[in-house]
Amino acid sequence: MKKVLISIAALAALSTAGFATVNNQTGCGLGSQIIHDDSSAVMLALQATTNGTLGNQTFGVTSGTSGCRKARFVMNERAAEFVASNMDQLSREIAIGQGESVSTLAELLNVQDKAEFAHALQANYNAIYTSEKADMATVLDNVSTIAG
Amino acid sequence: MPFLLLLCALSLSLYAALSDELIAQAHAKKLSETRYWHLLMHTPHQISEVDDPAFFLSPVGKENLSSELDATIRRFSNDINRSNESVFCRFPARRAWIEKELNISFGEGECSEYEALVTKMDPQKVTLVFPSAHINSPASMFGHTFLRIDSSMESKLMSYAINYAAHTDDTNGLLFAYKGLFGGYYGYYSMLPYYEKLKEYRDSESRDVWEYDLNLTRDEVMAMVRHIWELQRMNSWYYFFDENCSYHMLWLAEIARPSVRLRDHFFYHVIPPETVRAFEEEGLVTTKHFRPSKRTKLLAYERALSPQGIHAVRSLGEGNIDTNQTLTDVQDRRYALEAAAELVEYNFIEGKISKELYAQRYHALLSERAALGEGKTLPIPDKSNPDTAHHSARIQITQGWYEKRSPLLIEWRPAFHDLSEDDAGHLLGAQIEFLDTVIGLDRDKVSLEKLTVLSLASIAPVSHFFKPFSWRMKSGWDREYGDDRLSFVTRVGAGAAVGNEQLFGYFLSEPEVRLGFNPDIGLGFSAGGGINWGNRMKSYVESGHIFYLDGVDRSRIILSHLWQWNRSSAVTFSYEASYQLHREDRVKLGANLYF
Repeated sequence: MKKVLISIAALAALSTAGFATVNNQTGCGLGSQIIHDDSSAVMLALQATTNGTLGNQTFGVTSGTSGCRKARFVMNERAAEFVASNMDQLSREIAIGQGESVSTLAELLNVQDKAEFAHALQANYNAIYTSEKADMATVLDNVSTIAG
Repeated sequence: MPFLLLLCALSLSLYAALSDELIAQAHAKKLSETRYWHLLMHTPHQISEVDDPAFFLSPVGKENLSSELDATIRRFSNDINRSNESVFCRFPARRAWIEKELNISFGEGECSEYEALVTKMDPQKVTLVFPSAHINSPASMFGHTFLRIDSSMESKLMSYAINYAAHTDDTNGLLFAYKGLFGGYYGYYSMLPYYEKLKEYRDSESRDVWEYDLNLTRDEVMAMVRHIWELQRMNSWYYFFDENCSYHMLWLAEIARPSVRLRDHFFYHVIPPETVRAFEEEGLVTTKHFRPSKRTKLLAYERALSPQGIHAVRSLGEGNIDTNQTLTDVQDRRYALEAAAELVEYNFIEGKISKELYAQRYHALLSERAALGEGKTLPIPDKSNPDTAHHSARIQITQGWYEKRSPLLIEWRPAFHDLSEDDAGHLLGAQIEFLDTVIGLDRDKVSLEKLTVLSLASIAPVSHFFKPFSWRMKSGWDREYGDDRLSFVTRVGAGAAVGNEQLFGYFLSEPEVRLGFNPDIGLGFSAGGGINWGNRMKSYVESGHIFYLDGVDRSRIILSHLWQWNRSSAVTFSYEASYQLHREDRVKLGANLYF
């Protein structure tokens, strides 16, 4: 059974088809899967990749994510997926004003001037992360508004 | 109706004729004996290492590569079903290779899942990734390796990590060790976005990550991806020492470029950092990158901050103080807030604070940090690359001058690293020794001097932000106790350490149980330290005192110096004095050969 679950999970993590069927309504797909559904197949697949040594707390790192509402200005699913899975890392880099996650987001949103993008996000930190409960959709909405 | 039947029969026989002809061609070209078919089948010798029956199309495919090739050609030619679950879609690497070798085409299929994968993955380049050891975790001390398939995106975070790992729910360390060594776990390949792997290794487990870009061409990368698809659902027995994560990456690279012979670099065990070197020696590595772990980053903040800044980080981490009041320098304030955010996250990962508290503090700290605008990028000191480390297996030849004899000592140690050795490329303070065996030759007399079953140490320096404890354990036979007589000792100790990569010191309290000619139980205290002089010279000292139940205490001091000539050889000198009823001196001089 585990084998089957892992296969499904690996597929879900890879194919847009799997992604869409997993969470078609919300648009936050994989990210929300990982965070909300601890018993999901993705969780199992992740466990399977930890080299079996120690229980890891991968999921804790993304605690900032909570929402699955469809963002108004979502440009693409990959950006949503990325933001949902990297909420904490992204918020730290936005606060610092630079970093690989910010550059990745810029690339996913087809932003040309990455430095300007990072600067704008930092200057508007409180408008993006309105509270500690900000969810992926809100963050992406706000980022789109600022960058757009 | 009869006509239709006839038509069907005719077409079937046509198919059959075609596959028979192709099989005959394959036989004529001896395709089943070629290296590539052996690679595709994961067959180093006669029997495939893949243990999943679904991987084979012939009932005897695991043992009989010729039969498997025949069956594969027959299915590609004859199967009407060409949807996702069909043989046609499940084995794209076999298909591409047979089509090329026989100069034919099996036609088109409807492999939408596979095509969706390739589109999303957009494979362009491959990178070998090595997360190094996790401090205080012996199970991770060998590190880990996996491959990353890079897309045409500039960002590497969106790339896919191809991983092989044992699948287990066992949390019992002993059971894990046993099954890992002797089999009992299935290993699986998996694919995940690279950012997920970074969260796991770099953040959750605080392991430094090294990346080695490979020079595989796009076609070679595609060959690898096709084969990864074939392996996706397959399991193989997992073995900690040979058929492990790193070993399976070697197969994948050989599938991509069959002219490299990575597996030939190993003969009895595959230790992850050694695989990195095999890739280098085969001319596959172009550039290298380092991603500091969360712990390394926090230690860099400690270096960059003023004493007031460090104090502020700790208060901020607990939800107190406003940095405006205590820190006048704005850059110090920026670093303090950044470090505090990292620390709060670290404490959350470690389970020390609740999710609510974490979210609240993290947000408050970052909000304050963002208001301070752009600042300096945190300088993170370079670390020595794991590929500079000495090789993992060691033969040591030493001349000893003892109180009563002068043995020539010959040692064999299959793995891996001890505290007195050169730390380049290793995690500071991590020791793992396995089956360290020393034979003494003295005037035609052969004696067993030492046989370590297992010896581990984790000397983890405390710092402003981290307070790990240090520990070590050893179990095995030695002649350290009174008059060179052999006894079996088990010792477990815990304590604390201070220092850094250049200079470190530790103190441990170590209960000991000794069996043999004079069984005893004792409680020992040891203090030691090491200096890495640069130029790969290391000095190491340890002194200790043990109180035994029988009242005959023992003191001991050992000084050693090692000069790591290169990755394969080192010169070593040691002096040891022990006192138990009477004093005894031992001097040793010799050479280490690593391979």
